[in-house]
Amino acid sequence: MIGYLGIDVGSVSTNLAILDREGRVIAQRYLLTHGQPIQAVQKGLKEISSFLPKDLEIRGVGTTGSARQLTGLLVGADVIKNEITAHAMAAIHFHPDVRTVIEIGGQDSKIIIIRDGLVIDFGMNTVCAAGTGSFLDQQSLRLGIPIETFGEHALRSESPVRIAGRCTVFAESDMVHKQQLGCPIPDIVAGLCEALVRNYLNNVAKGKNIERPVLFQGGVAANSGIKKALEGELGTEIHVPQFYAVMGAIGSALLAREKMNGSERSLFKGFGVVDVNCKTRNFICKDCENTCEVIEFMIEERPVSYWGDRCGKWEAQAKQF
Amino acid sequence: MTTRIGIPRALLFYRYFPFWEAFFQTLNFEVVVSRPSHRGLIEEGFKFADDDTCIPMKMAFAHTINIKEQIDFLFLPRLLSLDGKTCACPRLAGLPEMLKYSIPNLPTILDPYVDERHRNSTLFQSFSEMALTLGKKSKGIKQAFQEGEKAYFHSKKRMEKGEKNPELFGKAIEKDPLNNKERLGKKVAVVGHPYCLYDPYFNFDLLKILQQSQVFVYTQEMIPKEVIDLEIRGFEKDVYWDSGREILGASLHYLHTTQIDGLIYLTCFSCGVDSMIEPLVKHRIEEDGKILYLCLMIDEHTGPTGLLTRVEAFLETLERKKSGRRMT
Amino acid sequence: MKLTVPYLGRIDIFLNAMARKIGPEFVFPPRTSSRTLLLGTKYSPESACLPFKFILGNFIEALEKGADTIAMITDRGPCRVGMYDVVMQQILRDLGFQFEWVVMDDTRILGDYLLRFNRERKKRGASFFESLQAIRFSWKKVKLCESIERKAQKTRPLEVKRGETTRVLTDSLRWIDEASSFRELALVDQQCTNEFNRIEKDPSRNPPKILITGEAYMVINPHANHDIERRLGEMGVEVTRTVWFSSQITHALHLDLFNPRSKRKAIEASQPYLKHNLGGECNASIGYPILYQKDGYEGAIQLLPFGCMLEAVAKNILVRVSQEHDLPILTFALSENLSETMIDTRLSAFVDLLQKRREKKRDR
Repeated sequence: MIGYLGIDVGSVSTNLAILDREGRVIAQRYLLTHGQPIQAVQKGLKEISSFLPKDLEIRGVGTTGSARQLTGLLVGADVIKNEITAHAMAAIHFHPDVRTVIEIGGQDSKIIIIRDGLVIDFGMNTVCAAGTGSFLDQQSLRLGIPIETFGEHALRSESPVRIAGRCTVFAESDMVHKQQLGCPIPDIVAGLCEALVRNYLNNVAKGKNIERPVLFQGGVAANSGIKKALEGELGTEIHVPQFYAVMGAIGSALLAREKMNGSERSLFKGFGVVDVNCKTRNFICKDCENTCEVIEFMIEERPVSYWGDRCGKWEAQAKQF
Repeated sequence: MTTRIGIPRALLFYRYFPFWEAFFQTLNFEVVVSRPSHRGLIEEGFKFADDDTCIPMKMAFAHTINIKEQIDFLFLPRLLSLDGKTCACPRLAGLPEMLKYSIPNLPTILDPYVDERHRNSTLFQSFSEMALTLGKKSKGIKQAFQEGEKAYFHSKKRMEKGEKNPELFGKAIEKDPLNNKERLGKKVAVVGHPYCLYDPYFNFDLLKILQQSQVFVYTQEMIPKEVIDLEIRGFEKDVYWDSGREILGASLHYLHTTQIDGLIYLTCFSCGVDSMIEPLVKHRIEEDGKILYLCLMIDEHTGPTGLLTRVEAFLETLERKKSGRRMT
Repeated sequence: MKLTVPYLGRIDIFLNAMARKIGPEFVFPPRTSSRTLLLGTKYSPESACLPFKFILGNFIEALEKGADTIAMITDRGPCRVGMYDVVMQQILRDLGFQFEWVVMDDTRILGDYLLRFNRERKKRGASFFESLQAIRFSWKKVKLCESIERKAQKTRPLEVKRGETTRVLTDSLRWIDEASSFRELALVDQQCTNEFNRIEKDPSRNPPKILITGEAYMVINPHANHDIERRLGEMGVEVTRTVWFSSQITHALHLDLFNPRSKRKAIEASQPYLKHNLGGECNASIGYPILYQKDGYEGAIQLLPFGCMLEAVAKNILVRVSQEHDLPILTFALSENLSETMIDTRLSAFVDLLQKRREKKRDR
């Protein structure tokens, strides 16, 4: 049985997916990166491999996410692509006529505009975490409400309170103010959801041409309160795909499938990489006044790649390996 | 000992340096330019710059600090209007004062005021007056001016032919003259202020990244002024900023002649000119629908990865469009 | 034609007076509110300056109210204002509005406007003499408004009952707007004077004087500067500002040669600090504090929109002016995010600083 592996390694979460030749998802994993992408990937691979049929042959691997280069080197990827391309690929796979993809993650958010099967515009949050999941995480801690239950609380609200402020800090003080006035929790939670959506639309999605069908994916897509708030602001139905949390991995697997096209020459190093010894080391290069901080990635004690040098000479060294 | 004239590697250096260098060298001055931007230089300089100003201005602060100890005079021309019709961003004309009041122990500033809209502040006149105060004679000044013009037009011609930044400007980029463009699959125009486009520290070496991705890069310098004027004449407003006019005119030209697959507008946070010009460029391109558009806005928090992701996604779509491989 | 223009102080009073006598019909949007700013920010390019966002919001609301023509005086640089027309038209037409935009920059000569004005007045059947009278009347109204505003600036720090001055000011401006003849206007003038005299004042207070200078739109429009004059007045400060509707007109027509506190004089005063006139209010913002210090003003506040191309230069230089003239200068770079508390905090800290300086001087 032929399969394609996709791995999306982000700063907050790592997700993996394996698709068959027809593009059906046969396995998926979602775990937290916890600041250690290599360990997360190895753990994820170990876990996902236990679900697989014995005769599965991986014919292509794709990686994406902020740690895509590192992961690609570790596992032997055939395709390494940015998150926008990967997410768009997955979205179109499940909804071929999709025109807008809204993605709200833990710390990054994106919007992707698709026309005729091509990404023609996109937006990413830059400095600010407004319009990302972290906004909710902090408030859930304050309110003592688990983030997973936010949705059901929000849906019970009949009149969400208006929480102002572009910034988490301002929003929090406003929220406390409303709490102290005795506003019921569902109304506050619903208000928070609306505030996040407003921030997202004013920030990440500003100036973008949002048209339906609209897909909503990313870790926060499970939150039905946010979905409702989005539908309210945009005035259109929002679709949450079945595999909303692992779309990046699915997209990478699809990209691998597209590239390899059935050929047998995948660079995949096999699931054995879970046991490989990897190390990352950093040092300051003193060869010029830029004093770049260079990151060195080693597999089994051998340096495999370098990042962080402005002049590129360390990177060039890695290409020799 | 030869007198040393210091020129910060910032702002209009990236357009007119060949002129200035030839002018001063012909008059037997030593021209001292600050080092190419690097982290230490920038971090040091930004401390002195006002928060509310744009990054290119802050870089001028940084580069001034880099050379101020090694020179006799600091050259900061106020080039308000070089063609008698358009004007430059007013911040450029206020730069000498902004530096003077923020950085201690600056050498004497040479700040010829050039406004070709008025008879007694032409380029020749202002530069001559400056050279006279430095003790040079008229005959020599005239010759120096001619050398300056020659050098400037020479560099202009090279850029019109497609050279991205003649070696003078810092890190040399692999030349890819026009006859390469058929070999390279994707054609992308990159427009913006020269100091955004040609300082590789500022834009994370964007031009090099593009060229390494098999992209032929078109710039606004490749379009002769007459063509830009023609495009602006056909536009609903005669834009009064020289840089804005050039950017808009070039973008319209590329749009109308459709020789390119995509256009990247490279700008920085808090640029007044770009805040008005970019929406105009974006609108025209999106309305037309044939060229892919990307606006890259760089601010002090921009990191290389964010920029790279955006550029990659942009190029991915260009690839797919050309090869017909849609994502279905 | 239903014409709308951007708010510039009480330009609405001036134009309403004209409109009632000889037309054209002016459609003013509702007074600038948070909805205005919301609309403006939503549809403006993100990096557009604050006046752009306010004015766009005003235009949207005016078009919603039925305006079909927009006019705005602009220039050809060096700041962004000259480009507002193209960019705003693009946005408004994309939103589906239909309108004509009357370009008013110096590419058109005065003669063109006079011709158009003449056409309009003929349409309404008003004679040339009537038109002149109408302009005289409207101008008189504006001057009266401004003298009332100045009275309020002087009275507010002395008022015993907080808010009374503002109440009288609001009433006065309404009466002026409603007056429909020279005679009525004269009566209103007297009425306003009486009302102001009736305000209970504590003459023993010796309020410090602060100058408000900076970018024109921010200085003259209370909705843009968070009503800074009222705030300072209620903190016991006498203020004046450098931008008035009438002074902008007289400066543009070069009629301010003899006013010692004119923009012309302010630009002259800035010479030692900024050799060349960069345009806008930039040089004036540097020179005005120097001039007004001579009149006993103890501090100055510079208002500018965040990212303002010109005032950012002035801001830099004012630091040196402040040092060399021993004049405290506070700068506010306003954006749509600035909250009320932030403004009040900084203003009261500034006022405290001025009080302390006074005490120090007295002790010497």
